[in-house]
Amino acid sequence: MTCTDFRRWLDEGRPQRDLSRMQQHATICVSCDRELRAADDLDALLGIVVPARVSAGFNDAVMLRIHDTAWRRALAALIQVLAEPVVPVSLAFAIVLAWQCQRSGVTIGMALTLAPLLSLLSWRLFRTYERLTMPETANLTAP
Amino acid sequence: MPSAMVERLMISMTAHRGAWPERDVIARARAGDEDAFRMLMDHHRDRAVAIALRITRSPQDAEDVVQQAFVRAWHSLGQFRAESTFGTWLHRIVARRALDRALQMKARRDREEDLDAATELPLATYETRDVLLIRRLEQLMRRLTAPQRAVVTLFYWEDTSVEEIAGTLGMPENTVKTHLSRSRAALREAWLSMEGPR
Repeated sequence: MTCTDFRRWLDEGRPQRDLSRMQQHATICVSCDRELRAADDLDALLGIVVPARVSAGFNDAVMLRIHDTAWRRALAALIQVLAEPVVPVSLAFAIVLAWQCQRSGVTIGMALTLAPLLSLLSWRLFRTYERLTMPETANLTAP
Repeated sequence: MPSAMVERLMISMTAHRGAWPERDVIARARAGDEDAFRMLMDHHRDRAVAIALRITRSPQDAEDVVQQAFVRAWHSLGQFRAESTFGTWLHRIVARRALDRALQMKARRDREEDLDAATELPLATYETRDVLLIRRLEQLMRRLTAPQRAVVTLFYWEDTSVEEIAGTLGMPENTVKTHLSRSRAALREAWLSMEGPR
């Protein structure tokens, strides 16, 4: 039994198995007795919670965030639906069908213009959806 | 046994706690009652902010983290199984988020404020001797890293087991044990050096 063993025992949180041996050592070693008393004080102090002061309007700020996130969640769900690849594909298909039916120059032009625009819109919606959802899901591993 | 001075402070602190009908309030909040959720916030926010403050050491970040945790709690109340108390559940969310924030703050150290004077803690109701002890401990906490502060806070304030801390903070159990062991050694050394040579 050395003073190093004693300090290691304190660091490990004073396992019961060595309790009597260590307490005996503390009675004959002034330095370790001092370490033991410091550990006692620290263990007690570390268990004391001094509640912190929160700023005025804390609850209102939380409720505001809750309402804000509810709105964002609803919007994110809508955008998720709109950003599904099937939506622009279906629209493009509908335009092609309309073009086949009418075969007018105006419809061809509309189809050629709308197809890339719809793809772009779909991509932008997907990015917006990501921005809306990522901050909320980044740390969801907490219990 | 802690010294008489520390023991007296422990007694005065525990006297502030009281029981309240938490289950009913949680059930109402779960049903969408915002007033009930505000009651939950009133009851838990101070301790939650204290936990976040101890880990982040930045009052602004601590409050922001706790607000985020309450938002998360509101949306997840349906998943709350009452296997633990609401406070325990909330404090684990807070601790995890506070640690994430503290690690992010490493890149912007200047925002980590000096809590030596414990100015953010409502100490006016305590006696000078107690205030000195609390301030002394806050000074010591500066010596620990953010993960060490998170582990120590959960272990000593929340009576959380090493296994639960590991699960909450996403660390291996051996890492938690190492953090605890090194924290105890660092705090004890600092405590003794503050006392001065005998």
